[in-house]
Amino acid sequence: MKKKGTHIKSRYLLVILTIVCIALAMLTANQVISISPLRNAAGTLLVPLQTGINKVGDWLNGQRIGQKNARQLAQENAELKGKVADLEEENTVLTENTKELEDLRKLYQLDQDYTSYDKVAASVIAKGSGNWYNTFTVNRGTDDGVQVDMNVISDGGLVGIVTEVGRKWATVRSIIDDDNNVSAMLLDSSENCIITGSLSLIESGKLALSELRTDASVSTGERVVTSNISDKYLPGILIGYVDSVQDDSNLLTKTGYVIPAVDFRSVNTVLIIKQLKETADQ
Amino acid sequence: MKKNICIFLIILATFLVQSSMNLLLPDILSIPNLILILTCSMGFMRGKKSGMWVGFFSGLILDLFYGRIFGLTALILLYIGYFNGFLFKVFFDEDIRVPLVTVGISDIAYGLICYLIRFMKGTSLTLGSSMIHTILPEAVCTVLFTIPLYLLYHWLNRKITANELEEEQSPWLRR
Repeated sequence: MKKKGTHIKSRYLLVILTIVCIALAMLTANQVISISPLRNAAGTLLVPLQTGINKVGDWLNGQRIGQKNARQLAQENAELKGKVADLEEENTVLTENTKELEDLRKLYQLDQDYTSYDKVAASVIAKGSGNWYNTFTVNRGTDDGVQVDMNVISDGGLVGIVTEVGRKWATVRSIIDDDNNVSAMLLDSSENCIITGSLSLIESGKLALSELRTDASVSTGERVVTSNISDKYLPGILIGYVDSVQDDSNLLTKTGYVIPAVDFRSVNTVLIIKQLKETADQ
Repeated sequence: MKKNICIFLIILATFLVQSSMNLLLPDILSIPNLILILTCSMGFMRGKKSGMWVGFFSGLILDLFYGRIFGLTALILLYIGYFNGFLFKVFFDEDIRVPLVTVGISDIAYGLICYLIRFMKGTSLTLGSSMIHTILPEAVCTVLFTIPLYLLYHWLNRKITANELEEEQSPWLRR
């Protein structure tokens, strides 16, 4: 830098680096060169460091919670939270199963529910900037059997989907991200709809619901789960609860809001379902 | 060379702290953009070129982990570093008020550019709500974090430049 510093004018350096950036952006966007090996290498290097820092963070938080056995309490709390999440998740499934038994079994064609899937627990080790967990990194990767497009749940609700994976880490894009659409259905009426993430709506704690048939019966508080026609999400995972719904101006569809089951301000541990949705083209 | 390694280590440390910020301080209003503080500080303390290099490399690291478009954050931070470098000759680096102002402005500009990119990709977010919920809280937090961080970076920069002077009496530090 020093050598160059005396030879190249900063203006020219700016132009050169700008061109480098734009070239990198274009080449990687068009898949001419792939940066995933680089990402993988960097991830493998940084994950242990980040885990260390997070341990310090956990320790500090543990200190804050109480005096003597604060650490222990925190640990116990985390365990209990995990248990609550499991129970909640099981509860949804049970409700769903009852419903199935009544008359929708043929429609659903669910021969498995997601509690029976093999899952791996992961903790969040880093996240993108911003206040919400719209994209974050977890400490499990291909070594633990994680693959791209695996579903991620927490607190008994859907968190998101794995978008990238390295040996010991994976990046998760959550359902509140602007780029995310989930094909969903209302649990009671099994009406299909689309749940769209939006970082502006999540500030008021909501997700957008759209494409719901106008004559579908909806009640506030109804559960919304992932639908069986979704191509990436496994069926029957709780997304949230209906907040409000109104008719669109075209009188064909309804739009509304859903309150997510997961608290997206604090996602610390998640479960990755090690079962990929199987679709016809695979 | 030694200097470059030092600066790279500073970038790396800042990135690590940045990405674990939410776990270190879970109840904070908004996550401050520490990388931006680093870029601004380096531009201000060391000049345009250092600002550019630091912005470029820290942007690349961010892109490597979180970016959808590889090179975009690097580009934004590159320019932020460059523009902050203009103040290098104008003010003394002991004056902390200058970085406070420039970090504030840079952070808002950074937020606006990010919003613009989202907007071009077709987000439903309005500028107003994005301003109130994301950009301004982040700017406030970032400015507050500038105070301790700038002092730290300033001290580190002192060490680096002193070392540099010892090694080869370069005319880098004119004071």
